[in-house]
Amino acid sequence: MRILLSLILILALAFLGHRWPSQLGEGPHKRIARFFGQGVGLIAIGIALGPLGLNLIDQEILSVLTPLKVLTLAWVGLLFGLQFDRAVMGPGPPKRLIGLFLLEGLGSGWVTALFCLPWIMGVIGGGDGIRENGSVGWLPVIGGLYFTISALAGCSSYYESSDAEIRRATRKWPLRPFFHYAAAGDQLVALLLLWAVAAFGTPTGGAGGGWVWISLPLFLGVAAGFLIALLSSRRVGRQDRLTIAMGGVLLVSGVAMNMNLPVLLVSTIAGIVIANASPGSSKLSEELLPAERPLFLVMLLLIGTSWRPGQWGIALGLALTYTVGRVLAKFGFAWITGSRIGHRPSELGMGLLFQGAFALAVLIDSSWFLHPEWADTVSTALLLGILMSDALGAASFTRLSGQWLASEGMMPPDENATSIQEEAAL
Amino acid sequence: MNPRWVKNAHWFGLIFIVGFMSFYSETETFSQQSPRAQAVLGFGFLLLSGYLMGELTRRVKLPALTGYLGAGILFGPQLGGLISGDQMIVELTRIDELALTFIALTVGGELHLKELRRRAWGIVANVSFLLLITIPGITLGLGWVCQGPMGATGMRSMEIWMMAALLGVLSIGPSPATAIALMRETRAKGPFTELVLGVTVCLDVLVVILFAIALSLAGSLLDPETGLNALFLLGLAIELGVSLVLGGIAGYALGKNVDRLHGELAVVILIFCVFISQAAHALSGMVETQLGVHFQLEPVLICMAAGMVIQNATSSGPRFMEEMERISIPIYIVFFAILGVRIDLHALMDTWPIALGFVALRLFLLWVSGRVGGRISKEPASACNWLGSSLVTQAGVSVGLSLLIGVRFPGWGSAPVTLALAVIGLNQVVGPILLKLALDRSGETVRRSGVGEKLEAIRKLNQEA
Repeated sequence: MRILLSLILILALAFLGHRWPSQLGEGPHKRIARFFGQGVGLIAIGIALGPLGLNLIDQEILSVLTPLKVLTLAWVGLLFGLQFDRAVMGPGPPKRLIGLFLLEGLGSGWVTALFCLPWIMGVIGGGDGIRENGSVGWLPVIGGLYFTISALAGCSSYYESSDAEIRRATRKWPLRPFFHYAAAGDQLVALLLLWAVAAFGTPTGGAGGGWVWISLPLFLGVAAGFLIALLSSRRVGRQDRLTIAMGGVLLVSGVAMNMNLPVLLVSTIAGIVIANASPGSSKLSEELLPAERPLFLVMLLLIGTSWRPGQWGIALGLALTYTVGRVLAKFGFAWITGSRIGHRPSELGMGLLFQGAFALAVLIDSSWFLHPEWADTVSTALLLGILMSDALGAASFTRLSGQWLASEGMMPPDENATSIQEEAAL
Repeated sequence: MNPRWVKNAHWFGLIFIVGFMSFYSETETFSQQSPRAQAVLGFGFLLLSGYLMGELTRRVKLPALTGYLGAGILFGPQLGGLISGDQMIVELTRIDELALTFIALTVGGELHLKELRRRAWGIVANVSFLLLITIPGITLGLGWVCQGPMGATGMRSMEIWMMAALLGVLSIGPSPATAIALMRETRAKGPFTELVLGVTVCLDVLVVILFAIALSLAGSLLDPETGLNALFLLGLAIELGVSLVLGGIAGYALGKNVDRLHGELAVVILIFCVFISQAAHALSGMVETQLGVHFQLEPVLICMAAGMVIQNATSSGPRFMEEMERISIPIYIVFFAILGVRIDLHALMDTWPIALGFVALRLFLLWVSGRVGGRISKEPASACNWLGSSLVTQAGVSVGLSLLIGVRFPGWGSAPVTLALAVIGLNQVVGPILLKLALDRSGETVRRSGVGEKLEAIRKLNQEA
């Protein structure tokens, strides 16, 4: 009873979060509505509802709602994987660009993690529990954390303004497809790095299982993808497609949950297989797409409700190091990459700062691999790091697109400036 | 992808997921997981296997529902064991409740008052004859069999007659969920379909009322000190009335807002169903604690009333039903597959001779009632012949009511419960097949009216192209 009512509460809030920003976004409650629709707002509401706040959603309910979180990750992963259709990507960026984006994502992630290394080694790695009782040993645990931070730091997303007018106007922005490809490359790198984390074994999973944990997501992802591709290759109606997609997502989530595998990764592999093996993959995406945003909002609420701060001081320090390191790394690699493809490095760097909800999904997925002793502290640090990067990224992205809009005469500079300030404030 | 693979995709898919589940459910990792994690996997497995079985049964001209049910029976705890464990089934049952309210909303939405008013006489006549012929027929037949040839040991004569009467009342309870799912699947539309739906819904409400009366009567006859509880009947009337009124209000509120919702309508409908089901339980509990009287609001009835109001009292009926249809298949699959999981095969094995006789007698009596009622209400000959066959399906409500016999009469109640579960299990399997046949024969399904063949031909041409 309580569980289902909590579920209704979460779904209703996610629904409101989905509707309000667009309904009130242009009215006098603009600021409140945008705040509610943004990640921070929903996470804050989640915290208020969770055990740290009003305790309307307690630990017992949270454990019941875990499948919802896993389902969201599977949904997001499948949709992400479905983008990588060779036929569609054909006229996309040349191979040189793909290589550069992958290098940029990997490099910036590694450099950021290198910045955080003193924290990892000095503070977190110093925990006696890991040295003495760690089931997989000290080095794999530290290595796993290094790779997790790399995966998160490399990840970037394209920022969609919450202002409908700006969103519409920037559809013709020449840099838009470029940043989309860059973000897709970065996100793929993040998932590949997450996969590498599996090589170190889970903190509770025992040593020596690395290759098994690496091969299982691949096998399951390919098998599930092939199954869905096979079933949706026939001429089927909308209802059948929805059933196949839902069944596939649930099966993938269930298996990944049962085996403690990274759901996002398994479902992304499945998505890539479907995109390239099934002629009906685009229609499958159409069926899955409408539920993506509401599910994301549910995920943000659940992040808030299940948040435990850990050690604040350490978390804040690590978050700041992560953010500063990431900004420097992104601009550094933008300088290397930009000069090779004829783009202004500052433009490229500004456009790659935003992390978005995909990074949060990676964070949730990687939480399987965090050692219980410092999982809360690291999760808090990375969450704060992502939110700080998002604030910086949103502001820089809006400035960048605003400059172009002003140069095209689509928006007066004053109005542009106001929008930038508002976006930055949020 | 290889066309041969695509052609046999259902077989490959089914073999793959069943093989995988068989292998995985035997591993240590699976047995160590929480029931919740197992339930997510079970849910996904049931959805896909049910869908694939449904497609396979459709190929042999059987309803897809039979395939969904078949998946539940085949892979459930009593046969395949791929969906097993009490906790896992409890977790899956949570989804079942949501599905039931969703289906009730659909049933309500399919009730067009204008059409029903036109068919009112037909519905009343048929329902009356079904009550007048089927209930006494089953009571007498079952009573006679249990008294004589297949004597029920350890039961007094009065208890046997009471058991027969209760099962007689129970035998008129059809399954609106099955009816609506099959009508959607076959896209049946026309006077016969409306008649079947109208009669089914009327019987579904009547069986609850009549069963409550029969239960109370049986109690007072077997134990004269108890007496007939008039307050109990009044309470029942209030419960039904309040459920209908609340459903009407909720339906009106939702119907007025349907046009404001765009992509989110499906999510809102699902939230609405969960909310109604939980609010009904919460309100019932609150009344019981505050007033100290038994009070049970019926979520299914509330949703049925809500659907009917949305369809008939607001302008958003068509859009609402379109959205319901879009998301209905996964819900039907899960509902019927879980129903299959819960079919009591042991009860069927224990009582199969008498259960088979019961099913045959019920079928005959339904056929006779349909013919008499149809003749009197001047229905076409095909409707007279096939109305009885279209009312064979039984499901959730009948199971719930039959379990009440065991609760009310702990001494001898277990025998009728076992028999009822066996009969309902058989009717669940036979009913959809007969209903599809009836709808096909009435010429109101898409396939029969010729559109189906045309669609099939276009599909084949496309495939060849």
